[in-house]
Amino acid sequence: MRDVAELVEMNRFVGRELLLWLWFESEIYETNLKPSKGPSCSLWLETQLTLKVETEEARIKCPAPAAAPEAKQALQQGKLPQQARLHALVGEHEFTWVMKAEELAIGALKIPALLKAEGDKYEALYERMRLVEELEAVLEQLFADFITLRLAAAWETSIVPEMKRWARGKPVDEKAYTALKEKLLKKR
Amino acid sequence: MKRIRAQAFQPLLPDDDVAQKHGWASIEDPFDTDLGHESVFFNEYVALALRVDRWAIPGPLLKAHLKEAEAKVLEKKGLEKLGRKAKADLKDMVVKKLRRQLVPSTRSVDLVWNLQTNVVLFFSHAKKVHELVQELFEKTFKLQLLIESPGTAADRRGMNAADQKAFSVLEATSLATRGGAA
Repeated sequence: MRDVAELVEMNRFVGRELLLWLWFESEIYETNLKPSKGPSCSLWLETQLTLKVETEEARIKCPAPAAAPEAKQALQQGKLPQQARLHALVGEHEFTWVMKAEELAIGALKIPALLKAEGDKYEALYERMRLVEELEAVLEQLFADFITLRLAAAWETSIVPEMKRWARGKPVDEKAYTALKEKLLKKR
Repeated sequence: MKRIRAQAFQPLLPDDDVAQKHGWASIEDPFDTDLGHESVFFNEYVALALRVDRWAIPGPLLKAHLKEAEAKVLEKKGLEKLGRKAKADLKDMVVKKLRRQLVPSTRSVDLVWNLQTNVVLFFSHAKKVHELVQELFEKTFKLQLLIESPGTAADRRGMNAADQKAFSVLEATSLATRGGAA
């Protein structure tokens, strides 16, 4: 894990799985995500979603792409989300951005309107950075929680089967999933 | 500050042998390249703009001027055809002449480095611009930028040996059902 280039390129598919997990949690918790540390947030997918497997791609553009039947069909075909526009509410701050999963890249980020006078160049930069870092901290924590679950044996044995049920439109055992998640995150 | 100033943007001139130049500029005004402490340091942040200037001569314009110049040379020297070297020299001359009538295109991208967290945010996803900023950042600060990816994010989380091993052998998840979508 010490070679930089190798580290950067290693398992880029994990980014797509992160986006899948965020989508899954957003739906089963009705957008209310609770990272194990730091503030909770509301998060959902909006306006555009691209799913891919090998060379096959499905692009869905509508107000709620995650709710479109084509989205779940794509999951059942083995496609995973590659890019999505996300919307998050952290406290009173509202963010939208496009997440490129394999790079964990944030693009087209919209942060809340600047509150301070634009005339003060220092305040304007601090405020912009504070807001960007606020979102970054939430995403960092969500990634940390996700990777803990992903590396656990229970990912394959318990979490993926629940996700498969969810992808087929069948009820998810939310209580069991939450209990398992809390147990795994506590162990960390 | 000395190192930043040494890599500040230098004007792109018509007679330069290169078609593009890049360097640091003020984050507030990319045309301000006389960088001082107050325009770069914002408490815990180092804030800079990567300025990239490039000569962009429209192809048809260059072609038309080249054709005209070539015809003049052929007539003057009483030749029917120009050699490869003469053509290249003529193109170089025409390009430089056209550059004097144009202004280079300017692009600037913000970079903010939080010195407390050691996280550098760069506000572009263009691959070519990434390569430029990586090279310039490393030349300026003698530090290597580690690009964000699932691998680097997982490593930053602080994985123990067992986690590292588990991460390195992960296989992609699929929610595919037999026969695909119903």
